[in-house]
Amino acid sequence: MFRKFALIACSLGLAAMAHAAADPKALLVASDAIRNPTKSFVLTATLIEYRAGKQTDTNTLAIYSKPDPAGGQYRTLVRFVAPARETGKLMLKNGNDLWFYDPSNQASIRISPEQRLLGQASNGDVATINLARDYRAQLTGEEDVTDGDRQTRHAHKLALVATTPEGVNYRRIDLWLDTRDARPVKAKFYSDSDRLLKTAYYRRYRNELGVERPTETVIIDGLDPSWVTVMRFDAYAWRDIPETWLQRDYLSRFHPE
Amino acid sequence: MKQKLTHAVRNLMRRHQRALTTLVLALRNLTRNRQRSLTTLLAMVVGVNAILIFGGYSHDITNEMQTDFVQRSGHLQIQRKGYFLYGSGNSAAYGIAGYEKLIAALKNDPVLKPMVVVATPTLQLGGIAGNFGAGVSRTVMVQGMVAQDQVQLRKWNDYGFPIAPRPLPLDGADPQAIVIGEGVARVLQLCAELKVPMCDAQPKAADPAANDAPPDLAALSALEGPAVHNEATRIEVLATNVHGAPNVGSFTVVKAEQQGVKELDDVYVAMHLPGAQRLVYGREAPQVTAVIVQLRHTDQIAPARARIEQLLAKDFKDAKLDILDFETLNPYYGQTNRMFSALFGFVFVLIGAIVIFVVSNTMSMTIYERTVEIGTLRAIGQRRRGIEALFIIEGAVLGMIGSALGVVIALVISSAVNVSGLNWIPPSRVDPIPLTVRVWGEWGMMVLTFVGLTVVAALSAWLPAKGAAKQPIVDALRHV
Repeated sequence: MFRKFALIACSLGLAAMAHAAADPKALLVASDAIRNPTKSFVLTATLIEYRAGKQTDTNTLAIYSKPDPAGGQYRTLVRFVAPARETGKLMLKNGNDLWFYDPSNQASIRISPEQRLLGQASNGDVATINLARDYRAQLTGEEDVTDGDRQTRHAHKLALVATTPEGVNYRRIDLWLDTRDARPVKAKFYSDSDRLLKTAYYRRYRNELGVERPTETVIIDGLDPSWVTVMRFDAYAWRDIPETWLQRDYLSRFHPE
Repeated sequence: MKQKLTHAVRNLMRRHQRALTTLVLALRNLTRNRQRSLTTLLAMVVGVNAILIFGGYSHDITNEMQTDFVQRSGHLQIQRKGYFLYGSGNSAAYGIAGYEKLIAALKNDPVLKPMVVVATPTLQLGGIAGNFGAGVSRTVMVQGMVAQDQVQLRKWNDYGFPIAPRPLPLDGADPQAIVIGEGVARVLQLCAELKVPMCDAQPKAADPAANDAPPDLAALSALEGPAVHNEATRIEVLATNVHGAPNVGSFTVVKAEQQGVKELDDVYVAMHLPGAQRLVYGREAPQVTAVIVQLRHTDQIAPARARIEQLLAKDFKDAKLDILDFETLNPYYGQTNRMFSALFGFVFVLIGAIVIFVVSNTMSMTIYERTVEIGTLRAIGQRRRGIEALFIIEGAVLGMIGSALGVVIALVISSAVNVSGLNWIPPSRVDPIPLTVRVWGEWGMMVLTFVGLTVVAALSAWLPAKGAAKQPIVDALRHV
């Protein structure tokens, strides 16, 4: 009798442990949902750039983002709000296509991948990237990691490898997710040649659109660690974004309400 | 036997009696005023020399440019269709897959084997070179090459110029070595390490009013450690791979080499082919943007091209490849040639004009002095045409002797220049090369000059001669 009880207790315990051992895919999906809202949304982003310890640039952007129904990358329309010399300029990101529009000379130009190697355009996908569809996750363990506020957190470490070379900018990503709630803490993005390109810290968690989301991303360049960009997101709101806004030809007629 | 020979010569002389007489008479007339004839001859000699030496000089410049282009980019290049015109924006899209098979086919083909000296692949891509420790970067044009083949390319010297092949710093260097232009080295602040001249340290204009970064960010940044920087000459090269994703490689600069043309010098980066292929194709099958073919002689371009077209049509039909020769690839060559042809034509016309003036002046004076003689000749039955012929032939003989002398002296002068050891630096080159003037061997130019100036001299005697022949006989006889 006692043996039977012990056996059941053991198997229940094992089952419980198996359940507690996290599924990397599920963790990844959960972390994606924490970072990126599931429906069309808008927000205001403030970008502050620091080079060699000095603040060099500040931009305020209005971002209109619509998820891809197939779970792929978001399509985003970015409007420059501040500083005054940049007001009204638009950028349309559609997968790997990036279009820039300048209202002062009514010119729209495609920015090729070569032209996005340096500068803020190279930071864009780090903040909004949707990992679950394009990456295969492997749980490599649990460790203590310093987060964006220089506190220690206990985190799952996931090793992500791109499943397809098309349309992904980073072949390999190291992702640290908090063990308690799958919150992304830190991520390291690597190139095809296994060189560190970007390090990102996700911090300033606030309740936005029903979920505790990281409203600030600190991006440190891998090649020049003294180049730091801080992206702060505020004024989240659900918003139906018409398909026309995400077309390149509509850029010249775009008007924010 | 001897009688027969003398008969034959006598018959020949009898048949061409008149022509022979005219020639002898012309020569004897020319010696009547030796000083005037000699001065005219001198003018012609100087004129012929000017044309031949300038012509020889410009031929040498052309051949030398050709040698330079053939050393750098071979005689023919095989590229994807459209790469030459559109590929500079996106070189990865114009890669040649399976290039090893193509090169093997070129090297083993029985028709091409005796003609081809080198067949080597190259990859060209646009990227960004950065010295991130110093916080500077620059867009560059990266050439991936096979060092051993490039050394072989640089040995080509079909025209026998007294030059030594340029050394290739990449040859023998380790796989991560690269060579950059001096302009690139200056922007990346590697002047001291690479001994680049004309380089002052540019102070970074730091905005004094800028805010400092908040301490928590500085601490996070510090966690990453300093920019990867073992040696002073280590730089990173960023490029987009064939899928549009960023890729970066770390390389050591072994030398900063001046490229001659400033625009090229400011963007030039040369590396080993595998390194460049890793940047663009990563772990996938590597490709190249061009296959360079160098032949033994430049005049083999047409048959070699025909044979390569046959090979491509037979085995590589799907690859959509094009063959371009070095003149298409380097429009500068054709432009310079055309400029020198125009200059040569201009010099020829100029000298021709001078010869016309000198010879017609001489002939006018001669004719004026021999007015009585002309009158006498006509009085005893010589036709007008005969008088004209007399003087035209005198002019022609003067021209022939002058041109012949001029050619001989030009040959002497050009040999003197060629062994003199003078040197100069042509445009878009960096090191001085010996000054050479190629007259011996340029038979076409010599014949053209000889015949041309003889004709000019004959023609310039024609007008005064016509005038002389028209004079009424009585006035001519009475001339004092």
